[in-house]
Amino acid sequence: MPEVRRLLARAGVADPESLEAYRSLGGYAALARVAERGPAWVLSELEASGLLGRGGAAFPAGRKWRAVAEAAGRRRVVCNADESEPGTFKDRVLMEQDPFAVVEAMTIAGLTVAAEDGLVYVRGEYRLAAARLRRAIDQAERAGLLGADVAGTGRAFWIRVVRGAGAYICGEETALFNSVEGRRGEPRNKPPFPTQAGLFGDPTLVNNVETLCNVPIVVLEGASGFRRYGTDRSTGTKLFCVSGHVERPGLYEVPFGTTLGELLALAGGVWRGRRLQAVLCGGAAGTFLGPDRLDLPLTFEGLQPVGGTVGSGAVIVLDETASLWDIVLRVARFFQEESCGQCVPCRVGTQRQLEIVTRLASGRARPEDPQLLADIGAAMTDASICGLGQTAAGAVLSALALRPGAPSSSNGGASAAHGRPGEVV
Amino acid sequence: MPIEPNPPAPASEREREAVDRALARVGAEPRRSDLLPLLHAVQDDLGWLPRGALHHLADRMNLPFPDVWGVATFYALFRLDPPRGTILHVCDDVSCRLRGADVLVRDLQARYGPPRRFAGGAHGDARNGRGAAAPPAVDWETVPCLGRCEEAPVAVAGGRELGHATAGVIAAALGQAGGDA
Ligand SMILES: Cc1cc2nc3c(=O)[nH]c(=O)nc-3n(C[C@H](O)[C@H](O)[C@H](O)COP(=O)(O)O)c2cc1C
Ligand code: SF4
Ligand code: FES
Repeated sequence: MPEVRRLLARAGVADPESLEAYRSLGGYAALARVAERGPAWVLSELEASGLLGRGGAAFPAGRKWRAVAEAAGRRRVVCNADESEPGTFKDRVLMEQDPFAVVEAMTIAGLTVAAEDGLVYVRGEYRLAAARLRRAIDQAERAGLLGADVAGTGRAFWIRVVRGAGAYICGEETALFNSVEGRRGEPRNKPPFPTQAGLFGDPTLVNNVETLCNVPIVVLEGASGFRRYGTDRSTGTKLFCVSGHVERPGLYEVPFGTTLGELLALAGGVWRGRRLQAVLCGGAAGTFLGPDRLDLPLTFEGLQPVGGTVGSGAVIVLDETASLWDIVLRVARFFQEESCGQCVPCRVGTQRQLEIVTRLASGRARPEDPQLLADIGAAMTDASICGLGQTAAGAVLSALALRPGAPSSSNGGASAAHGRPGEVV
Repeated sequence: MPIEPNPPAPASEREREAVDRALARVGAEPRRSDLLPLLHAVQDDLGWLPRGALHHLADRMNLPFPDVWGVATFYALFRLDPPRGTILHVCDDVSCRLRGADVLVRDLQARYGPPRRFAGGAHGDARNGRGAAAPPAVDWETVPCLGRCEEAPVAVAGGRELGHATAGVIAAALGQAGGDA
C-alpha cells in the first residue's frame, strides 16, 4: 500500500512559521466551515468518522468530544504533546512542521465543546516545537483566528503553551493535569474521568496532537471522505515512526490496514541486507513481534489478537544481529526509572522486573525467572492505577514468548550487547 | 531524590533577583499553576535551581517549601546541583542503542569520565570523573528517548540537538558551546 500525505501534506512544504503559507495550502478552511455549520454538525461528523485517539488508548474521539460538549460548567481543551514513548517522534514532527494545524484543530475543539481555555502541554525537550507553537498562536491571535472573537463567531478561545520538564508519566492525562496545576506529576484515580472533572476540576477534552490534526481533515472531507482511508474499525491514516535497523528511518503516513511488511518496505527494509529478528511495535509500552508477523495488517483490530498494539505508532526494527535482551533490559530500566512510585504493584514490580531481566540479559537466568516475570506482569497489569504499570510488562513478556528459555549468546544474550550495531558477535 | 538539607541555604543576591525577575513576568498574583513555568524560567536564568532560590520562590508564592521542593525534584530536567560544565544529554534508549549509542557512551566515558546516570540505574558520581579540584568541562548523563529516533544516535550538547552523534560531533559542538552551561 502506498505512502499517503494527508496529515503530512504541509510538512516540509509550507513555511511552518508563516500563517500565509498555511492558508495558501488549505489552512483555516476547516475553521471557516465549523463557524458556518456549528458544533452539532462537527460532533456528528466526528462520530461518524470513527476517528480513534492516537495517544495510545484508541478511545473514540467523537464520543469524548460529545461528553465534554454536554458537560456542565466551564470546559477546557488540552492538547497532549508530551510525547515521550521511546521510539516515538510523530507529534514533534507535526508541531515543528505544521504548528498551525495543531492550533486550528484546537480552535475547532474549543468552538465545538464551548471551551474558552486551551492548553498545549509540550514535552520539555521539544524546544523548537514549543517555540513554533507560540509563534503560530501569536499570528493566529493577530489575525483574529484566536482570542476574544474567533473568526467573527463572537466566541472566545485562547491557547497557552506549557512546557513539561522531563517525566514520561506526565503524558498520562491526569498526571498532566497535576503537572499543569503545579503539583507533582502523579496520576489521579479514575473516575472521575477528565470529561467530568479534569484540569482544575473542570470538564476537559484531552486529545493527542495527531488525533487533533485529523479533525480538520474530517471537517473538510466529511466522515465519508475520511473513511476512504483505513479499515472499517480503524479509519483514516496513521503516522508510524520507523527506527532502528532499517535503511531509511523516518516518519511514514499510511492508511490503516497497511501490513507491517509493507511499512518496513517503505522504510527501505532491514538494513544491510540482513534478516529481521523482531519489531518492537508501540514503543516501551508495546510488544515484540517476530518475522512471522510481517503480513499482519496494522490496525487496532488486527494487532489485538496477537497481543500487539498500535500504541504511539513506534515501530522499532531489530535485525538478526541485534541483542534482543539488551533491548529488553533497556525497556525494563525505562519503566523502573519512570514509575512515579505512587502505587505498590508498579513501584515494586518494575524494580523486581528490572532485577530479573538483568539476570536474563547477563546469562544468569534462574529456572523460575520466566514464571516470576509472568506473575509480576500479571500483578502490575491488574493492580496498577495507571497505564504505565499496566503496560510495563508487555514488552518483556512478549520477548520471552519470542525467545522462550534463558537467553544465550546465540539468541541474543549479553555477549552481543556490546557489539557495534550490525556487528555479528 | 536529593534530600533537603538542614538548615536551608539562604538565597544569594543573584538567586533572589532571578526569582523576582521570573515572578515579574508572570504578573500580579502568582498562582500555583505558574510554578512549572517559573521553575523553568529560574533554571534558564541560573543554569540550575539553587535551594536558596527555591526557598525564596516558595516565600513569594506563599507555598510551603516542601511543596516547591517536591515539584522541583519530580522532574528530570530540573537540576538541583550546579552544573559542572556544559550540559550534555546522550540518548541511550532503544532506537539509539540499535544505532550505536552503547559505543558512543563508551567513547564519551573515556573522554569525559563517568556520566551522572549510567546503565543499570546506578548513579555515577561525576566528581570522581576528573577529581573535585579540576571539574570536567562537561556535565553529562544518559537519558531516555529524546524523540528524534530517525536520526539515532541522538545527543543534546549545550542546548544544541545533534543527530547521528559521534564523540567527534559532540566534541565539536561542545567546543562551540564553550565551558558555560
Ligand atoms: C504512562 C502514560 C503515558 C502517556 N503518554 C502520552 C503522551 O505522551 N501523549 C499522548 O497523547 N497520550 C499519552 N498517554 C495517553 C493519555 O493518557 C490519553 O489517553 C491521551 O492523551 C488521550 O488522547 P487521545 O484520545 O487523542 O489518544 C499516556 C498514557 C500513559 C498511561
Ligand atoms: S501505575 Fe506506576 S506510574 Fe502509574 S500511578 Fe501507579 S506507580 Fe505511578
Ligand atoms: S531512542 Fe534515542 S532519540 Fe529516540
